Amino acid sequence: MIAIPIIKAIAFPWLLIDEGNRVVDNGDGSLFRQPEARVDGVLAKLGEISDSGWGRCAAGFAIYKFTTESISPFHVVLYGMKINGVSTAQGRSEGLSVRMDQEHLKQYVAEYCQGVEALDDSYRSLIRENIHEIRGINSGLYNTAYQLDGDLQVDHSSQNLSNLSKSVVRWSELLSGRIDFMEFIANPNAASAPKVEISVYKKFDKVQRCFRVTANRNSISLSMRGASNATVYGPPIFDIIPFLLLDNAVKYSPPNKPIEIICNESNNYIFCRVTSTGPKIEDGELEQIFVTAVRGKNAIRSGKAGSGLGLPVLNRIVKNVFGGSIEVSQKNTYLQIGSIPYSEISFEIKLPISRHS
Amino acid sequence: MIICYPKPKSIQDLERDRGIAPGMRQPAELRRSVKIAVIDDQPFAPEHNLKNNHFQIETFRDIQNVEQLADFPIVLCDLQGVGVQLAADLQGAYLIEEIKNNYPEKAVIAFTGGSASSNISRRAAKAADGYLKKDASIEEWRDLLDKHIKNISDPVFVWKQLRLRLVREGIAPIDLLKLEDAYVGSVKKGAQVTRTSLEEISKKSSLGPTVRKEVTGFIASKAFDLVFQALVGP
Repeated sequence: MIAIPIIKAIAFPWLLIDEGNRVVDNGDGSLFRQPEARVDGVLAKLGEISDSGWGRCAAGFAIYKFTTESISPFHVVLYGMKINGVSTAQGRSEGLSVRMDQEHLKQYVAEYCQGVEALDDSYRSLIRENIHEIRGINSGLYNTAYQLDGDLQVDHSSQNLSNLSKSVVRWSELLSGRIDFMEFIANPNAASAPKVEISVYKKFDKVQRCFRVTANRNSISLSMRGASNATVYGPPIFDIIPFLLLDNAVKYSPPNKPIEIICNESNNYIFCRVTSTGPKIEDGELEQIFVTAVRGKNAIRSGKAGSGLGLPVLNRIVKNVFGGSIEVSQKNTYLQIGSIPYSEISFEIKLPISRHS
Repeated sequence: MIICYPKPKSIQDLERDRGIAPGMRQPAELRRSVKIAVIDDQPFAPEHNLKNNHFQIETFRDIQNVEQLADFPIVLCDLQGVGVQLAADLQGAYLIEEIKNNYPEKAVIAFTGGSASSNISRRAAKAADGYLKKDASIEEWRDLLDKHIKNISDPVFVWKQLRLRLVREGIAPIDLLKLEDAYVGSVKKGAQVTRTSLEEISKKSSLGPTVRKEVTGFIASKAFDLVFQALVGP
């Protein structure tokens, strides 16, 4: 459905019609205005075209009807065109008077459809990934609360109850991190919220404590070291940075592998490095790692859900919102699980320390 | 026309007798006797709470082949991140199809954190005996597991399922009649007597290879033993 507004960018005059050939929307093309051909004359001929294909309107101009999965059950009709072998309209007319081949137009439509499908896929992937992650978090939250409720009936050991209630809080904080990420995707203007002082070490520490609930269940050890009291100055969306770094690290790490976070400061910058084991980034993929909707071959083969949007968002927030930079490095493959090679991978972000601190 | 004397026993006879003797054990007792395998690449969040409800849960991060599940009459299978070595595109849906192909008597339940409308989910739901969201409540898990434990422990249900498969494989009506008569006539006498009766009929009849495979597979299965473990004497 997100494809429908994009129809307005089609170069040719267009109609969006439903299965009964009724007009849902129509407009001039973005490049060629509507010529003399009238919509009524186009609609009268649509019954002669099945799902897709060519026709000719009453005024002698060519009609081309098509659909694609993202537009279905609607169809798009391009009209008012002079197409070799189809149209019979002659002479100069107001609007589109460029004559072209059928194949040329079909190629244009095919590329348009591919673009629309790719865009649609990327949004669907994002939604799918978030459904998967949120359901996983909700399952953890629900079962911890359920266990806590059961234990309250029989076990009054304060340590056990305290651990369980802390787990509930952390599951909830994880959910909050996931919602922040989705909100940023839905509303990048969140970056223009009023700026505040943000303690980087504390933020990383808080987020890594949340991820312990998922990491521990996989026997993944999460540790944090370093020293920094420095702050960065920016909108209150900073939590998304450690959230995305650790979400990636915990998601792809095999069981029993460590994840290490080091935060230090030096020369007016704060450096945070997250090192973990993950599916090897193949040659040529490193340059693409922050490109929207691109996922590494081995990451896909690992079967973990992903949309390819996390790292591009991370990159955008670090660079554009906080004026920092991010580097990815990888050591040689040291582990093979099934047919998937794993390497030690580090993400290091460098952020300018706030002058206010 | 087939005329048999005395009249062969049918599964309806056993169904009619149900509630008289032998009876089936109580759900809480049955839970303790049915091993449940969970295949999930992530820790299975309901595990602790289901174990507290006396379900016998054993978890696998992934499996290399379906024979690893031979001892488990019930299998809960995640859809994402498992079976990737066997079929990267279908993942858990492929595993479920493989389990049902090799062990049709097992109850296989699909669960996922993903979207119910994805291709994998749709395919898995078609092959599986049940489907749950990953964050389903313990009550939903409990009810679904109890239902399947009851089914796979019920001699009537189990036979009806086998009968469907035998008909699908083209068993001759006379052979089906004999097998059913033997099963119904011996089920109250215990596993060994029933097994021997079915084996004898199977040897004497001219069953096709796929039908014979179904019968021998059933006799050798955990599901067969479970039926007798679940029964309490007259």
